[in-house]
Amino acid sequence: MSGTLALEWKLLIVLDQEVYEEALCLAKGTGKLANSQLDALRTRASEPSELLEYLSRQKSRAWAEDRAHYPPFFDGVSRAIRRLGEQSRGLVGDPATAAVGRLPETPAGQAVHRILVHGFIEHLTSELQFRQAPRLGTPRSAGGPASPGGAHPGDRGPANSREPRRPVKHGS
Amino acid sequence: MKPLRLRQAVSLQAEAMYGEPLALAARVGPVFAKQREDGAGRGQFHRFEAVVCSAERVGVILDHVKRQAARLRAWRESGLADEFLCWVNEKLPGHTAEVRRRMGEDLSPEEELTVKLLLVQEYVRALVAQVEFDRTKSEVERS
Repeated sequence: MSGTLALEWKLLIVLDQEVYEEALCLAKGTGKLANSQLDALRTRASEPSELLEYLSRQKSRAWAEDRAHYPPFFDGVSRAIRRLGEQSRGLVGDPATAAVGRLPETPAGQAVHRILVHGFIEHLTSELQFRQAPRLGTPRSAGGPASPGGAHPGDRGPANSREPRRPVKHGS
Repeated sequence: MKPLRLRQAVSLQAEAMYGEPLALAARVGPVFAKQREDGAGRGQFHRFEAVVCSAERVGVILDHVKRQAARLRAWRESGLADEFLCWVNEKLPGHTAEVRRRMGEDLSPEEELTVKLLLVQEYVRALVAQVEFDRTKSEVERS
């Protein structure tokens, strides 16, 4: 049975859960990014190799423009894309190569990789946009307005809770 | 027969948790009704329901809620996004465990994710129906 056939859609759904959690971890350690930057990532999410090139170009630019928190973020995204590439290769039985982080070479591997990267970027950018949205508090918030960019329900307990925030882990 | 039993267990659990979306609807409905200039009309809820019912995984729904909250004040100020995400985080695992208990056997990872998706769909369907019902009722009362 070929790699593509062996890989059921349901398996990708389960993998998406891991991808989701990885995206949340990366978002958690990231400072404020321009919405245009997040949109640019989304538009390139369907082509992982193009996205990697874009990230590398953006990284040099960010250093030049003195946006210090961008390069670690770009590095994090690049690492995740490469890791998902390795995972995709393993899933469809692409021939193993010595080079770590190498992208899938067969059409089946590339197709799986595209799906995983697309999911990763969607989860990552939506989480970042959500975190960055101005927050004025809710009618239920007893503690008054939340700090800008701070209130994030995905990271916290029940409404009004002052407990430490935890990411939304829908698969847990 | 397992898929059928799974559906049945999910339906029973949806009945058991029916009050939760209604309580949220009572809180967010009036805020949305006041903020029509923000595009927070009926279409918002119908689109939400459409996204949820056509989703193949919960992550897609969470992404949609986060994007809407980032884009629209009503989603943030009404507490819809916050409370929905909290429900997914805090309550959904318990409801899923209850379905597992009703089934009387362990669920595979795919089945567990399917149960979560079905429960979220039931929750949002009930939420949207209640918001719509409340809004129409208040419009009739005003006229």
